[in-house]
Amino acid sequence: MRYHNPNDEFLSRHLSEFVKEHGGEWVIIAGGELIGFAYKENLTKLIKKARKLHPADTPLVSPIPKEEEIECIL
Amino acid sequence: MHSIIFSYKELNRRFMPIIPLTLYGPRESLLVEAYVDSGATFSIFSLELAKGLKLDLKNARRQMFVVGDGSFIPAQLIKMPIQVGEEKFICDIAFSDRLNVGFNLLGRLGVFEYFDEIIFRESKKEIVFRWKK
Repeated sequence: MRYHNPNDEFLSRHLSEFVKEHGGEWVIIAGGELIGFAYKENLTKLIKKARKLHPADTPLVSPIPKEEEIECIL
Repeated sequence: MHSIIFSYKELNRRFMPIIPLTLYGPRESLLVEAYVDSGATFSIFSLELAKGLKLDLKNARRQMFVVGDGSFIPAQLIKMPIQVGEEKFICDIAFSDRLNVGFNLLGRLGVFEYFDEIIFRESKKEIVFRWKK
């Protein structure tokens, strides 16, 4: 069985673009849509927003690697 | 045998075994992404996720971990429920505010032991977790 989750699928579709534009930030996705980007200091606030907008969903929260971090992965 | 297949994630034309999994706090859960690292013993996640889950780390075990560049990072280790695909189980997870690599890391301890097989299919760019019920 192949794993399916709308939030994960959204991330998969946009991850390379997020790395270019938001590397070093965090992304929050809920209800299959982008909630926003945040630096770690503001992450809790954005998680609260995701839970408020999509109370039945488990929000996806992920750091976005910087381009140089991807290059350095062994 | 049951199985769940995750497609690798593409980052800048590189495909990586980054999978979604759920971390459970006392009242809330978060879907997070982690790089499946068969060379790592422990799973290390960003401390920000512990804050987002409102985890109580007062009684967590403090431990230093060696990371890829050879440096030591401090982390707080607890046992907590996680879910991979449909499978929910208790696992040792370390949280650190010094994991400065842009990825959470899913290591072997508690995860590779739970599943009967974890197969990296490089040619298909997918990773398979297999288990018996």
